[in-house]
Order: sequence, then C-alpha cells, then structure tokens
Amino acid sequence: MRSQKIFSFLMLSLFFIPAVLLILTGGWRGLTVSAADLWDGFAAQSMEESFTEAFLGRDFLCSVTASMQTALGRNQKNDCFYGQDGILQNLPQSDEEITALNLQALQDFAEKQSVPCYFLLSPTAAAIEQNKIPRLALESLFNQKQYIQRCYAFLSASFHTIDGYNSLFSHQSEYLFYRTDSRLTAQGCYYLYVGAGDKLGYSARSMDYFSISHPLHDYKGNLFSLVPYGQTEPDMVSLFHYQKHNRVIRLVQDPLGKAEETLLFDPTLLESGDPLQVYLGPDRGVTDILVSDTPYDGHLLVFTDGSCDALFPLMAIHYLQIRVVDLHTVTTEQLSQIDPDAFDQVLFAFSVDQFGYDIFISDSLGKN
Amino acid sequence: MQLASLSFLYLFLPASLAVYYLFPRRMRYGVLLAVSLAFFLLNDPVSLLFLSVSVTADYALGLLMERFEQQNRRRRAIMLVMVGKNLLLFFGISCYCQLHGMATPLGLSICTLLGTGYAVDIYNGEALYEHNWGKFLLAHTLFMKLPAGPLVRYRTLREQFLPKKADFARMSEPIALFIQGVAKQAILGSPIRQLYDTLSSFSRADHSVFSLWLMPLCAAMNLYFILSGYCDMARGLGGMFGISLPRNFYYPYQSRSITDFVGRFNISVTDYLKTYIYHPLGEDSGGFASSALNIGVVTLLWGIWFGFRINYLLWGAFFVLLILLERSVWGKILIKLPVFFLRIYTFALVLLSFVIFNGRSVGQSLFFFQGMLGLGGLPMATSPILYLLSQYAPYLVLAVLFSTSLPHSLKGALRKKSPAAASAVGMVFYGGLLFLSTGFLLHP
Repeated sequence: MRSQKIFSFLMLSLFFIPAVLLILTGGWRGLTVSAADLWDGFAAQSMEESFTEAFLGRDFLCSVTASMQTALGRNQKNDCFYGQDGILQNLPQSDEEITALNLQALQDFAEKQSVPCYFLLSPTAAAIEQNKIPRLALESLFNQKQYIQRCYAFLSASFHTIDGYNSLFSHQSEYLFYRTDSRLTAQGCYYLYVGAGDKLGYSARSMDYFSISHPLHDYKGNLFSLVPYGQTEPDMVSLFHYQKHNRVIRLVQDPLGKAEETLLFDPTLLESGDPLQVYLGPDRGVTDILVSDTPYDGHLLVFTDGSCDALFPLMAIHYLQIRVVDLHTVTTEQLSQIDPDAFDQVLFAFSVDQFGYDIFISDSLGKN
Repeated sequence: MQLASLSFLYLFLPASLAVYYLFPRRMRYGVLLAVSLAFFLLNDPVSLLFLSVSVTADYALGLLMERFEQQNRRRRAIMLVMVGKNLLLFFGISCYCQLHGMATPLGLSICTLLGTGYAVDIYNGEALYEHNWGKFLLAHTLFMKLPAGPLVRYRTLREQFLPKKADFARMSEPIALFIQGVAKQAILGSPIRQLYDTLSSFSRADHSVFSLWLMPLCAAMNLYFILSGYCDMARGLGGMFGISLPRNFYYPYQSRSITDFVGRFNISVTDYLKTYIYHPLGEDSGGFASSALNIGVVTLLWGIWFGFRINYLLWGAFFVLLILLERSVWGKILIKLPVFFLRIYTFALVLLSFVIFNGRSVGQSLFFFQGMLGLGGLPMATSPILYLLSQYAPYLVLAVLFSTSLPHSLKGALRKKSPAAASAVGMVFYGGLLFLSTGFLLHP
C-alpha cells in the first residue's frame, strides 16, 4: 500500500512540478484572460497560446520531439522539409489569378514609362537545392522553373528579363539560401548580381574584389519557428565589403521624408529582431544607396519584396544611386513621390514565393 | 481548452486537484461543480448559459413530476415535454451547426441526452427525483465528459457524488489512464489525422489505388485514437476526482464479428440506445421482422451519432445489414472458424465501412470503392503517396499495434510476475509517455 502511495505521489508530481516551476519562473504573468476573450469563447485558446509560448524548456522539448519524429521517418512539417542541413519550404501551386494581376500591373507600369525596365524573378531554395529533398517528394514540388519561364514570356515585350534561376542553379552546392530562412544569403545574392550584369550593363566584379566578413554565426530565420528542429544548424550572416577605389557607400532611409543617413552594414542591426536588416537598414519603405567618389553616374530604381536585400549594396558599386522600394512596406504617399523617369533603369526583383501568392505588387503599383 | 492541451495538463488540472483535495469532503462536490463550470466558461460561455437554463428547466420539471406522483397522465406529459425539449435541442442545434459549418456547442449531446435519460428514468421509477440543483447541474456539466463522453446514465453519476475519503493509493491508475489518453491523441491520433487530412485533400486525379486503401485505414485509426483518447482521459480524470466512468471502447478492431464490433465501439452510446430505445421496442422478442426493425433503428442512430450526413446514415445501414446477415445467414458458420480469420473478416468489413464514412457524398464513396478495386483507371501508387507513407508508416504500425490488447496483456503479465517491477516500469513508461506527449503537443 505504501509503495502504491509513493507511486501515486510520483505520478501526481509529473503534473505539479511543471506548474510550480512555471509559477516560480514568473511564466504565469502572461496568462491573462480578457473579458472579451471570455465572452467570445477564445479564453481557453488565448491561454493555451501564451502558456505554450512561455512553456519551460520549450525549445528543448521541441527539439527532442522533432528528432524523434525524424528518427521515425518524418522530415516535413508546415510544408517545410527539414534536416540537419536546412529547412526548405515547399510551395503550393501558384495562384493563377494573383500571378495574372501582378504580371498585368508590371506590364501596365512598363507601358507608361520610357525608362528601360528589368525583371528578376528568383526561385526559392526548394527549386535550387533539390538534392536536399527526399526523392519521392520531388514529383510533388511546384515547378518554379516553368513558372518563371511563363512569367518571363508574358513580359518579354516590355521587360528585359534576368535569368536568376540558372545563375543560382549552376552554384547549387554553395551557401545560396539560409538554412533557417526563406531568403537568399549574401553569397546567393552575389550570384544574382553576377547574372544580372549583362542585362543591366555592368561588368560584375569577381569575389576577389570584396572583403567578406561573417559577423553573425547563430542566426535563426523565419523558417525556424515553423520547424523548431534543434539539429538544423543556425545560419551565418555575411557582408560583402567592396574594397577597391575607396568608394564610400551610404544608406539614406526614407530619402523623401526624414532622410536619415546611416552606415552601410550598421553592426548594431545584427542584434535586432531581424538581423538581415543589416543590408538595407530598419526603415524599409524607401531606401537610397548613395555612392561617393565613383566614376559611374547611373541611377537605378528597384522595386522589390525583401527577398534579396544583400543584392543591392553589391550592385551599388556600378551606380551613383540606387533607390530601393520595398513594396510590402512603402506607403502610397511615398510611392506617389517617386518619379521613375528620374532614373536610368527600373528593376523589379521578386521571389517566386511572393510573386505567385501575394497581391501586394498589383496593389502597390495599381495605386501609383 | 482541450483536455490534451498544455494549459490543461500543467495548469488547470493541478490547480483543480489541489483545490478539490484542500476542501473538506462534504464540500468537494461543490468544488467539482465550480471546476466544471470554470472549464465550461473558459471554453464556451454561451453554451454554458444556454445549457444551464435547459438543465434547470429539467430539474424543475423533475420536481413537478414528483408533485404529480399519483397522476400518471400528468407525469407522462411532463416526461414527454422533457424528452421533447432535449431531443429538439440536440437535433435542432446539431443540424443548424452542421448546415452553417459551425462547431457544435460544447457538451450539447452529453447534457441533452443525459436530461432525456433522466426524464425517462424518473418516470419509470428507475431513478430518484433530484432535489439538489447543484448536484443535478454537476452531473450534466462534469467537465471531463463534456468534450466526448462517455455517455453515462444520470443515476450512475448521482450515486458517486457522496462524500468520500481521498484514496491516494489508488490514484496512480487513473493518472496512468489519463496519460494514456493524452498520448493516444497527441502521439498517434494527431499524426494520423494529418495523414488522413492530406489524403482527403487529394483531388480524384491525385489518388491511386493504394491511397484509396490507405484512407479508410487512417480514418479507422484516427477515429479510434481520438475518441478512445478522449474517453481514457475522461475516465482517468474521473478517477482522480473519485468518480468512476465506464469505458467507451474495448479493442474494437480485434472484434470477432460485426455484432461484436458494434458492442465494443462507442460502447456508452450503444448502451444508451439499447436502454432507451432497443429495450422499450421489445428487443428481438417479436420475430425476425420486428427484431430487424429494432436493430435497424438502434444501429442507424448509432451511425448518425457522428453527424447528420447521408454517408453516416449509410454507414449505420451497412452495419444493420451485416448484423442481420450474421444473425440469419452466416453467423453459425462464423462461430466454427478460427479466431484469427474472424478478426481479419471483421477488420476488413470495418475498413470497407469507413469508405462510406469517409465520403462527403454517396458519389464520392462510390468513386472510392471503384478506385480501390482498380476500376477507375487510377495508378497503383504514385510517388507523392509513397512519400507520404514513408513519413507516417511508423505511426500507422504503432497505431495498429496499440489498437489491439497486446500492450495491455504484456502489462498484465509483467504485473503478475513482479508487481514491484511492474510499478517501476510503469512509472518510467508513463513519465516518458507524458514527456513525449508534451513534446508532441508543442511540436505536433
């Protein structure tokens, strides 16, 4: 009887110990339930969410579970394939309606302008790093190459298209995409920079021209929260500094408004919530990259989606000014102040995972 | 708040147990009522208000019936009002919610059917009139059985609301049962549900013969692990609070006939239907036609317990047909066959029944049947299906294994040989199971 009581006590402690630890570590403070939540029937759900968020040893437990699931054969979660060498997001079939609207918006834009327009649609890691995807799953992958070709064919009359797919695919074994983030690494952007040179009319510099630093080695990107798999190595954030001719490259955030000048590659941004802000600064709507002591006098206007921010500081060495407009965050007022005719070239640089699924391009350009 | 959720496991449950056992015995049913109402309030406050009114009406009508003890016509009228009101609420709200794609209010079926049973029982003199509103409300809103039963008769519950001494020596078994229920849902039910959902989302062109065979297996395992998981949790929680609840599933997939299967699957619903419909209809005492009709009515209701859809009705009808065939055609042959064969025979028919259960329409089920027989021009298997299987095969194997009584037999054998070792192994096993379940709840 005594041993049964001890056994019962130990079993009960399985529930009580985490509860006591939660109280001791102050994790209960976030467990507030509003009257509105209570009435709407969301009280339990909001409690569960905040409790899960603050759960003691959450990362450890997730990592152990993910390892066990992997041992049992699972390597896909939330549409992401995962393993030690990275998390790759599988894209569903693109939305044809959204694609058509975005393409039409670009076409309409190009027809209104006299400046030459360029279009770069870059694939995601799932298309380039297919060697990391289980063989049986390859058939169900969205064919991004075909999608890019289809979009390029639609815009061929009004745009110069840039082949980002082959630029990346020919270096597929290199560190082109972050292991824990859907965006391109600085190295991936470097190959896009090289691939875009012919079309944009500059002679891309070899890697020897850059001094490459790696100031951050433990970056966990946006895919890590979808698959908190502890065995995926964190990422390294690299910076390509142009080291010839003593050119000074400056960033001006919100040049049409407050015009705050900051350093290119401000190291303090590596400590922020999104360390990849280091490439173009924290205020993402409109950013100017200005170059002093340069023999070039070109002005490039870029509309982008934030998928390849490291690309534009690389291109900057061939221009006097690059104005980067992030269509996700730019305001209507800022857009109305931008005159494309004041630039020599206009580049649209997007990623397939946004172009085929998000209407923001059509929305923003339509308002302009 | 789900029973298998982190906030329930590590916050609501320890807090409720602590408060429950800190209070004196005579006040514990009051604490349990407060805990149940808090659970209801956190999950579905509108239903709580609404069902409290309905339960109070049943309570008042019960007292009114007692007042007319000598006037049978009035008593019958009151009983019919109670039954009619509860059935109208149950069918009306369930249908409305299904038509509008809304979730059924928490505890609707449990509360209304318990109320119906109470009305019939007091009318027949099989239960005492309830004079304590708090205990009456507690029987209806007892939190552990709100999400998915088991469905218990009122008098069975009422007998247990008496002051009792806490028996810590017996606490380990309900805790183990509760952990087992959580693990059933989190570790096996949830991944199999994911596989089933993925297969269900396939268009006709994406399917293959293999995927169509895989679907009913997933549906059968998913339904069993989710529902029996709920029931294990309810029974375990009941035990922790000193209330004994019946089991709802008894290894249904190792049944030896379809009649046996119906008696092992969703047992509390089967018992309820037998008590309140099959027995009053005269069971099988009135010849073949009458008995077939009685079985038909009960089994069809057993089918539509899962929802008001033509496929669920057909699912029930499929079982009616098989039960009648077993009774009148091949039942005598079956009892002479080896047990292994009987289990294969039953499981195969149950899997086929899930083809009807899975379909969103009769046409879709027909397509599934045709495809399974290789008649739809579908390929045998495709890479995406094989990939999906590679992801979930171990879970399916474990699910099939744990749906049998084999683990329970092993536990029993160990306990018989060495009770002390069984306790130690049990502690490590259930501790590990809770740890893993917590991990799966965080990272499904």
